[in-house]
Amino acid sequence: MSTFTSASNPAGTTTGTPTDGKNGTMNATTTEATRRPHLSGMTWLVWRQHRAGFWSILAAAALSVAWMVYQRGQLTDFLTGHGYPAKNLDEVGSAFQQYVDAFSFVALGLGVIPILLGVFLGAPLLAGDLENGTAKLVAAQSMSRTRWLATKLALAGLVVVVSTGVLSAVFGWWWNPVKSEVTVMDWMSSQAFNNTGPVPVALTLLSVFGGVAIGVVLRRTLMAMVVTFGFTVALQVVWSYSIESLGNAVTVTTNKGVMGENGSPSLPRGAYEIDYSFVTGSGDLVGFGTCSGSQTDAARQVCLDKADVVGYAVEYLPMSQMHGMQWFGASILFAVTAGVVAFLFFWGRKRLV
Amino acid sequence: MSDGMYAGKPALEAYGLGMRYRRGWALRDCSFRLPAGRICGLVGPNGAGKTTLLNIAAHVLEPTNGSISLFGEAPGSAESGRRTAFLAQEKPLFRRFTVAETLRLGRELNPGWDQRAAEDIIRAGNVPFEAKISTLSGGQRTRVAIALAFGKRPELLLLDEPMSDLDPVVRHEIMGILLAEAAEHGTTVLMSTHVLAELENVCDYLVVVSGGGVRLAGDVDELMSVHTMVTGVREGDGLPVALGHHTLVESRISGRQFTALIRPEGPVTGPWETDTPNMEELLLAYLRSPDAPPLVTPTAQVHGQGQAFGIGTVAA
Amino acid sequence: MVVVIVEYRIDRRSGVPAFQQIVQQTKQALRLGVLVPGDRLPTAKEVAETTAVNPNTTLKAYRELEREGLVEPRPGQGTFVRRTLGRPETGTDSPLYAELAAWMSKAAGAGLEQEDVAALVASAMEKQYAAGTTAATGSTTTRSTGE
Repeated sequence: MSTFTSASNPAGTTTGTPTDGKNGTMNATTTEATRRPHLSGMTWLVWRQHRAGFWSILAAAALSVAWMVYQRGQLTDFLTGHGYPAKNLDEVGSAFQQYVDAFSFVALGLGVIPILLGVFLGAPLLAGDLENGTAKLVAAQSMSRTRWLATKLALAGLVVVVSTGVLSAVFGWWWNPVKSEVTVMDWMSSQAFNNTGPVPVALTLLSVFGGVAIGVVLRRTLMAMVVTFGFTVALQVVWSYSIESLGNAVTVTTNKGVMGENGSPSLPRGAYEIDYSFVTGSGDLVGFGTCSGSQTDAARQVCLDKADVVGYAVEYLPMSQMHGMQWFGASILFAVTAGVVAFLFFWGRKRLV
Repeated sequence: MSDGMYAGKPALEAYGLGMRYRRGWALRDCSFRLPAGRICGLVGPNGAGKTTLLNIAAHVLEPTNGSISLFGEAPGSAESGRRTAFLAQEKPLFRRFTVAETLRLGRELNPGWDQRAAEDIIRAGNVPFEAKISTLSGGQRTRVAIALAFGKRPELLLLDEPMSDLDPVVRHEIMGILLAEAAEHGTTVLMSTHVLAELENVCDYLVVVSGGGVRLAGDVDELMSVHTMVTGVREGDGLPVALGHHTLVESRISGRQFTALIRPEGPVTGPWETDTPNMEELLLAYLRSPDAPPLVTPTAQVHGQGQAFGIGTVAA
Repeated sequence: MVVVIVEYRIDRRSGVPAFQQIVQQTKQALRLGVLVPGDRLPTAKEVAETTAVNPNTTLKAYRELEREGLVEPRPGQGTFVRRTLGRPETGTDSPLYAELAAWMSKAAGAGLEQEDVAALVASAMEKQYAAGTTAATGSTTTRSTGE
């Protein structure tokens, strides 16, 4: 047995007056709080955990915006110098090509955003916590795991919506002066259609939340990232095949024959042709290749007459439908995303630790 | 705290708890009661269902059958979530957070957070507040995890193998912190371990699970006092017939001598030496003899429990 | 304020229950004058922190000491020493000590080893204090009864 005084008792010192270390941390916390926007509770935790990723996304978006603003300035300078739109761009030649290339280059980058964010933001968002046990740590605190899930989805969703929304708006603004020039970007191309309006927001949101759901089910970060890559690529493929069916195709028919120069129908500027065929006197459509096997024009004419071909029938999508098609498609994507979120909450109630 | 200690309000009650995984039953018909204010050791061999039991209590797992109640509430309710803290075996922490940020996590997510208590535990181990979790040693990480659990000011602390990766010095110190905090706030502790030496002098309550079921549950003094270690000269091939009317837990024969752990059903008289077993002997005997009749003392019995065994009664 | 308190040393291998070790060590401190009336015993929390002993064990030991009239609990303040066990006869300057020291040197002169002396003392002590306490050597056959 030994005796000692409380002065040498480690327990005595710790329970006594606050030491420098404590004051140090308190000061650090208060200055930090005044310096930054004040986050609290679950929002603070989720932001702190993913701040590197969130800031990277926002910073990359800001850089891209700056680049596009610069490019638009270059473009409008050129167009003003050229005298556009009074003078069209048909004879502008190779001098204009660099501005077209700038669109393709940026559009390519913007096009992979859904895949990138799905794989690197969505898949690890919860799979990481489930894999290394931090989900248990959060579940052991006083707040419900539903709240945790909701905060994670809300913050990730907010970052996605803000970054892709701003990128989409700025890209559209850049494109606007030359929107009707098919030579720059065809509005039905994935470059234009997928990167403007609500489409990039909807595609990215579904890719990211789909990645989250894959991560929650697989509970392994790396595996979830690989599967999410497959999912987001598949989404892009399915989406690009479905774009056409989003619009109401318009059909124009002619009755001036198909042999002459002036027989072709006149389509509005920027129209996207879906189908080109011949129309008969009774209004039936026959294939565009009808009578193409004929050796001479005369023989072909005989053949066409025999088939009662009186003109062309062209099915197309006018550019005026672009906006409506984008919102229609985006709302389908948003609805699917809502389904994914509902699944996440249903699944997460029991399996999120 | 002395008044609350034996008042006997339950902190945790398990009713016929069962948990089946794909590979089979991890826990089966597990019923016991833990009075508030106790420091309870949850003992059993590896794979006995200790972690499963704690995970059910912490609302990490949903039991296949039965239920568990914490202060009368289901796990996962806002009330029991606030009053309970759980330290999982792997002691998960955010590796990129600093120690101070980890404590802030506790402060942001828990209404009754005690920043000072948490900071005191960190400071006692000289862990720098600005250090990243990933740079800390195993012992330091455990300390941070324990600070996080204690800062929550829980009334029930669930600890899964809390000392498993600590050296003896830190182990002793952390146990000291644990017991001191429990003493100061009357915290109920349910702590799993398979290191029996960790429990001596630490626990005043025991729940032994083995093969998925409860083998022994109750107050330590009570459990000790109803068992007797008998040593003597063997008769023939086995135990003396006179010992037959006591409940036998375990017996061993070496040479001419026998040693038996029994639950006496009356005076133990005979040419034998009798002794009170120590905790380790008691636990080992029960863990080694899966067929020994289980014993759940009255304070550890839940109401309406199927397999209730009174002290000293012959169990089936 | 400097408060002198005792620190218990719990031997987990001795086989003596921890609460009895606390009782014995407190009594020893009372005998040696380390603890005097009015001293505060360490709280269960302090004991738990330094020795990792269950606070209930400490409280049980204190209740035992209280039952023997050696200490008293003061609500909200702690447990305080009421009376000492120290007597003039137990000091190293007492005549009894001198007699024992003289006997020891005689035993050594007769060629007795330390173990022999200890055995003699123990057996003489057993004869004299047959129903005696377990204070000096401890006992592994004590039954703890629970409260």
